[in-house]
Amino acid sequence: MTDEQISDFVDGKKEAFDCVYKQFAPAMFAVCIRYTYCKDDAQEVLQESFIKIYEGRKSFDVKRPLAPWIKNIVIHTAINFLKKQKKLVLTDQDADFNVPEVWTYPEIAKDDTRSQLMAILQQLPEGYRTVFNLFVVDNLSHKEIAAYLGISEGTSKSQLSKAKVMIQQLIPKEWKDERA
Amino acid sequence: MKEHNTIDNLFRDAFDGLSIMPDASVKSEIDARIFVKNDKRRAGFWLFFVGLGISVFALFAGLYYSTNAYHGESLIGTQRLAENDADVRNSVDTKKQIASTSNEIHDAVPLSSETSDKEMNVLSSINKQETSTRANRTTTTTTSARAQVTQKIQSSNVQSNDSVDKKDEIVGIDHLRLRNISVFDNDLTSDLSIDFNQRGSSLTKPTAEEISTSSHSFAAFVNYGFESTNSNREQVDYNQLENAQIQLRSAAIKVEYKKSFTSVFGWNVGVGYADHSVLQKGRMTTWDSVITQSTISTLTPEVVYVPSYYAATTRYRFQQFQLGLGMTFSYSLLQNCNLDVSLGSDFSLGKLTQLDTNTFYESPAFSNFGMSLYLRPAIEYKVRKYSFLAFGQVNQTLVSQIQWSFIDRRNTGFGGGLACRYYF
Repeated sequence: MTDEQISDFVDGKKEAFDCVYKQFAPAMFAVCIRYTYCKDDAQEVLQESFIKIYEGRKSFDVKRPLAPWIKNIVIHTAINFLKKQKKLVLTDQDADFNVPEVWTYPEIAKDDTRSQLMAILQQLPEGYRTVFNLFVVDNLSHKEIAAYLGISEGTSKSQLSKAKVMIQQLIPKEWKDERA
Repeated sequence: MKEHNTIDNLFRDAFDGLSIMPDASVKSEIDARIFVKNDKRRAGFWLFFVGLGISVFALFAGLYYSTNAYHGESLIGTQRLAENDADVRNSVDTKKQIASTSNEIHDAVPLSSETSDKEMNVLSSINKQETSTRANRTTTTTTSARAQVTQKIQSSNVQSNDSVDKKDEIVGIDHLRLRNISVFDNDLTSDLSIDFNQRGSSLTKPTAEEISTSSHSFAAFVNYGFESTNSNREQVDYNQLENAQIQLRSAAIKVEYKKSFTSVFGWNVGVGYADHSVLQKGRMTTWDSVITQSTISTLTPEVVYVPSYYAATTRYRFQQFQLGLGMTFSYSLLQNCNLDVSLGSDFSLGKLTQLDTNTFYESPAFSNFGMSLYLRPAIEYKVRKYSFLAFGQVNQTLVSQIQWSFIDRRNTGFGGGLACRYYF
């Protein structure tokens, strides 16, 4: 996006906002899918996120890059969504696998690794999945995760550890061998 | 550990740069909520100010009415006294004419003689014949006189003695004393304000849904109101108080907690403090004797009786602590604008202080407990977790803490004010 378009977006022009949506919505939808359980939830989070992005446009510092600011809002919104749905339960007790919802991604081939990893993520309990996403995919530290979720660093580490154990049980052995 | 790192890399690589197109309905829904909402917000904003304007107008109209009702009464009293002056002058002139032509007046009004002993006799005879001659005096002095002669006649008689001593002088009718019209201006200030602590910014800004679905809220109300109640009994036995009126001007502050149990209904509980300025006013009729003396030395001075009207007031300060319980109905008018109607009861404890010690009126009885009903329609304009309300308020006292013997039931009070509500 050009500086002029970003400036117009901050001014609240609809055309500029459309441009922001067109550029960032697909990537942010992928983020939403990672954090949520089903397509409907992911779309709801995406919708709320872009409304917040528009309403909070005045707080955006035009000297800084737009993408991280948008991604930050999307992640916040996803976490809040899970909290609101009371799905985000972060305890030290072991949790069971989620039953994956049948949903194929038209953009991704069904047998594609990414599609299968998405399905694996969806089988994780919300707490495990959220911490795993924040730490592994979005590169947040345990301290930052603790602040995000309002938990202790120890709980964050524990959730991550349990998530990885669960993922190991779900990932086919040949993938791990390939990576190794 | 190595396995864990492998998993990390697997997911990082897989999701890096991943893009999935959402449904087109998402964008249209976002547009509908952002760009249509803005128009509705604007309308809600103006609706709030319309409500605010109506509330302020109602408040000042009430105050104007309340203030001018009293000054109007004072003017009536003044007019009556002016009529008195004219009546007295007419009656004196008439009496001069009558005295110069006949002795009939002596039959009607016993007058003073040339000696002081006789004057005293005359004065005592005036007292004795007071009742029998009242009709004649009334006819002589004014046709508008209708109340009884009071004990004040006695003090006027004493003044009459002094006047009688000064023979061959024209004694002016000194009834300035009668013009005891006091005008009461209430200085009660309505300059109440509340500082609301700024809440620290939360992790994310709440959405419209978060606001509308918040079931708990705290609100602070500041309002100003008035009430005017007229006497609804005969005044004969009440120190001759005529057209008695009680006016209350109230400045109140209230903090209220509200809990919604459905999307439209909720209950509220609040505590408040109200400072009422109470004005008890009315008109008393008294009769005063005044001495007039003929310019013709052969004639004796005469006593005439004139009615006077005391438009007097007594001020009280009434402080109240209130506990309120009520129900709230909220109806969404626009995206950010609600109609919020509360109905409930206030239970109160209070203290009454009489500010005017010299008063003609009986002090009211006072009880510790009071109860009133209130109806409070408000226009609420929401801004994130906060909302601002402009409201009107109707109060009906059910159990009055202040009880005047000449008032059976207090009238309805009206008021209005502003409030700020915080949802959590």
